Amino acid sequence: MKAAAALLVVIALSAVGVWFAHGQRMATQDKILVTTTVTDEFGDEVKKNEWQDAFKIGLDIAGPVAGGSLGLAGLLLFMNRRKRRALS
Amino acid sequence: MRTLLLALLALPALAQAAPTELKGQMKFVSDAPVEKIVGTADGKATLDINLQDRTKITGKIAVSVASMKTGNDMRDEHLRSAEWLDAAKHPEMSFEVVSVTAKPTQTKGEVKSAELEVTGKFTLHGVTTDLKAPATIKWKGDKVKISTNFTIKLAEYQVKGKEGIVGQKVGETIACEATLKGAVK
Repeated sequence: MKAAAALLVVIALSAVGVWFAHGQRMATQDKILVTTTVTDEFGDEVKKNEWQDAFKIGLDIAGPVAGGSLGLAGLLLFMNRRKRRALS
Repeated sequence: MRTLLLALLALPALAQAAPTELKGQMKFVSDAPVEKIVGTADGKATLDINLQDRTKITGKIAVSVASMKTGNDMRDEHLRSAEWLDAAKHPEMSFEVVSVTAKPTQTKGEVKSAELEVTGKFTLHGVTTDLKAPATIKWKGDKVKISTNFTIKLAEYQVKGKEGIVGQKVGETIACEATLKGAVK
């Protein structure tokens, strides 16, 4: 049970870590706007915006995953403690 | 003889310049306390452009609501829904040019440009308001580019969304910038 709880804590921390690495967005992005600077026919440096397929996890997914995992880990630890107390 | 007469009568109509079709992209940014949303939409314009006298530019710029993208398909669907921009009822937002003031022409090599201040009627979500925006027109031969930026207040256009979202997750004002290119006919 302790091992499962530890694994769930790792999952929760990973979800938070991935969320941070993906730009701490609220909503999950399935495309990202890639902006490149190009010189157009008028000699201006202009920003060219293109959508590219990408998965950037948002708090809408990372939050429930991290929260759920931590909650479940807490429940497992609580049940483990109760079991140990009952045995002793 | 009659054919020649008809052809001569038709000449003034043929000499009148056809409207210029321009195409491009509009980028919009909603900067709310909780979330910053960046999106794009396809724009097109049908303008009568007189490069000698830019104050005589007239026409309409339209942006397709269906083409609006924010990088999240579900959010894009919400954006197009009746609760937000209602793309089914109001498939495009538009800007009808009413008057233009222009600063003198600047020349840099083959490229000429002029700063403009464009006043017009902006329509979004079926609501039309007056809008004044700065713009820059650049041209080189028959190629022309118009860029502009402006901000809009969602409340002015009756765009309310779900209660409590505007002002928190969606900005009360949206910053827009658009660049359109084409060839003057």
